[in-house]
Amino acid sequence: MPALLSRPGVVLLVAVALVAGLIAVACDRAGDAPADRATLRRQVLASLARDLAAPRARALAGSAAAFTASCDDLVENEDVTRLEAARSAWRALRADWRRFEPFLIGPAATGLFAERLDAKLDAAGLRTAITAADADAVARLGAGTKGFAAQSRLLFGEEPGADECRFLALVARETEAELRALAALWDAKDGALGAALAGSRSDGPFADDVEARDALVKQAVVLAIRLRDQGLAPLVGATSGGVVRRFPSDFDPARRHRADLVASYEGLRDLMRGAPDVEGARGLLALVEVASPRVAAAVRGALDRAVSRMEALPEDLSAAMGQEDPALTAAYDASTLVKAQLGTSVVGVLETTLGFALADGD
Amino acid sequence: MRARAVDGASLGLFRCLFGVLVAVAALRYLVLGWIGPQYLEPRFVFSYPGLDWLGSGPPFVTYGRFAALVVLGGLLAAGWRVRLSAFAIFLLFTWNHLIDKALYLNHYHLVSLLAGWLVLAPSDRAFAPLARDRRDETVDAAWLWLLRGQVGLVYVAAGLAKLHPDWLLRAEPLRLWLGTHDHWPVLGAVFRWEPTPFAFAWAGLVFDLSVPFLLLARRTRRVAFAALCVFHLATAALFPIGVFPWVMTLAATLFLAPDWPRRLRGVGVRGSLGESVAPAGVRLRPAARLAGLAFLAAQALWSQRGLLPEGDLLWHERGFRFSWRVMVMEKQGDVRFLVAEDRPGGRAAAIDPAEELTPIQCRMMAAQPDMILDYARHLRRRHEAAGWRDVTVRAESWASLNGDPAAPLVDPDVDLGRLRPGLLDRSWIRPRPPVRIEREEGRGE
Repeated sequence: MPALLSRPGVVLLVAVALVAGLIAVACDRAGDAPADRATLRRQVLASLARDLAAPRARALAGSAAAFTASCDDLVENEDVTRLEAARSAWRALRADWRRFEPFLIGPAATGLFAERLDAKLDAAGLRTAITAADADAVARLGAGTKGFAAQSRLLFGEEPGADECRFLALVARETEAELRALAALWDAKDGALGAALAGSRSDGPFADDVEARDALVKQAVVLAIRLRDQGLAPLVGATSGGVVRRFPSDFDPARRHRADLVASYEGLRDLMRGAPDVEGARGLLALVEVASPRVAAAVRGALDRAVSRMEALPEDLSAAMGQEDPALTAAYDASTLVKAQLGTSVVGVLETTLGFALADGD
Repeated sequence: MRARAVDGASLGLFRCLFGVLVAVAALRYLVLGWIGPQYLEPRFVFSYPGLDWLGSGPPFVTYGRFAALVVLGGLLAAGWRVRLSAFAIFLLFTWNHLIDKALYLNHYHLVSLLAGWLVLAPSDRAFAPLARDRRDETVDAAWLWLLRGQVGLVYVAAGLAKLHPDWLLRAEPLRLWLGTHDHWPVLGAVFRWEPTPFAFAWAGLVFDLSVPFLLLARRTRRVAFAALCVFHLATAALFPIGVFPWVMTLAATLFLAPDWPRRLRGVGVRGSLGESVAPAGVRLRPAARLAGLAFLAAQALWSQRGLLPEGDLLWHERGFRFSWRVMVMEKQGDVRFLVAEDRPGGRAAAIDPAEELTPIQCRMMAAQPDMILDYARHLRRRHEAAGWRDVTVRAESWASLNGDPAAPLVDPDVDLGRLRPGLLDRSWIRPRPPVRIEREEGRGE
């Protein structure tokens, strides 16, 4: 053996034979294994685009159309029944929006749909904006005076008068146009985002599938942080040394409804698990599962728990803020767990680049 | 023991190429735009104990430091006043590295140490066109042995660090990392094969623990060096670890025969000088040899200090830095701080560290308990300065290690603002949840 080792040529041959043997065996065995991650990633992205994002975007645009119609009805006749119908339509629209938020990536994020629709309420601006005469005037308004928060204030605040109803109808029409544009972007056949992720278009906005996957993971993490810090934390304050302390909060009127939180966590859950009503649909957890089944199980559990904890919340969250309701703490803890699992273990096992790799490792 | 004089060519070429690597490493920072995010943007730095006076300085000082490293690397390579050049590199590189714990990297620590050795070693006996008064082309063999000891120590400590259940029984984090390359042509199939990460993990362990010794034995040296080159080329291709593979490959040349560069064709230096008794001018004094050995022994002991605190070192990270635990974990963390006045009706606030820290600092702190502690103390001081009284700081922190689900990292009930834990105290850190060693099943959905 020492004599063999002293001959580099023989050693090299043996090494090459060993490596070739390993590759041959691996290629043979790998045939039994599930698809490689690149193939799986492609399948997951296609399924998410085709089975979840595109139908949800269409549903969102449909909800927006229904809300516009209900507002038009309200303008024609301002009675309590029609106001209640408009409120229901808005709630449905808002829930669909929350379920869709995980897909605000790429051009859907840079297109600032979220900023135009989900901005913080500008109460003073809203009071003067109501006098806006037409769609052009509405188009020039800031998001804080016509977005979801403003719509919520008009619908659920003091009973709206004629000016408010007319303004609502104008705003609803613009929202509908925005959401139709969003749905077009996610169309699985022609949309710049939807078709690219579904694989029927090659000029997508992402350099590759990894970038697209990372965009979805990053959006999920950002949403989990926002839900915990802006959605749940104001309800319970910080648990500090066992003492619950409440923070002063400008709790957005549009976020007062339990349905808002439930829909948000359903959106996250479906992004991770895949479309619930489509056979064979896949979500990001299929990728996590390959890397770590334990993490996949933990994330699945955390999201299921979060949805059930949100469903257990009182319907009107603002009313619950002053109470020591254990359901609030349970929901907050569930939201913390979702944030932790998505932001640490999922990011870790998928080796997701969150945009701050400005250094070498080790 | 009689001092042996050996050819200084190996040491000279090492010094020359080391200078080139230092220049390249510094140039990368300038070209890649890393200086701003790492050195100029932080509003708070995670100082090492006793080094809180060490700042990066204004932009012209910081950029100047990196520019100086580029120049000094070139001068060291050319052999201009090698001890002075090496000393300046040692100071500037170490300065950069010790400013902020968030910037700790094992290989930067090694670069500082190697620069330090070159301050002392007579490395200008060959491959030094700008060297003055070169009287002899030989060096005391003890210098090579000390440098080999330094490099061997890194390998052995890195090997010992791999004697961990995650590495041995779960092949983590290699499994996670190799999985991200499973779309590569041909090799992708190898990476996908279940036994591959285990083969890599165990081979890596055996490699680290044995390669210094195999390099020392003449019979196995060539094979070991070839394996080392393949190993480091593979790590360079697979992992974003900067100049580390090149530093280690270069350092391994110190294990080759002292005159190996002269055996290469076209180098343009005369034949091997062989071995002889070291003349007085070359000889390393016994006390200096002993001091060198003691320094290596101290490093070896220091690198194992992390085994003293109870619990999993990769989780609590007490004693992780400066211990050559290379590529043994994939860890992500998430932390939020809760600051409160500990009195009835007191104020309270939840602090997102991203409001003050840079993304790199946030990422590093979130997974490292001692940095969480540092920041908690800072928050206490910051709020006290703002007029808060009886300030308590607690952390809501989670971490995921080597493919495990996230688990709480720091005890959320401990007031970190005033905590002064001893070196071995990790009671304020939650234990790592037990890891089930099982065959991963249910792959794919």
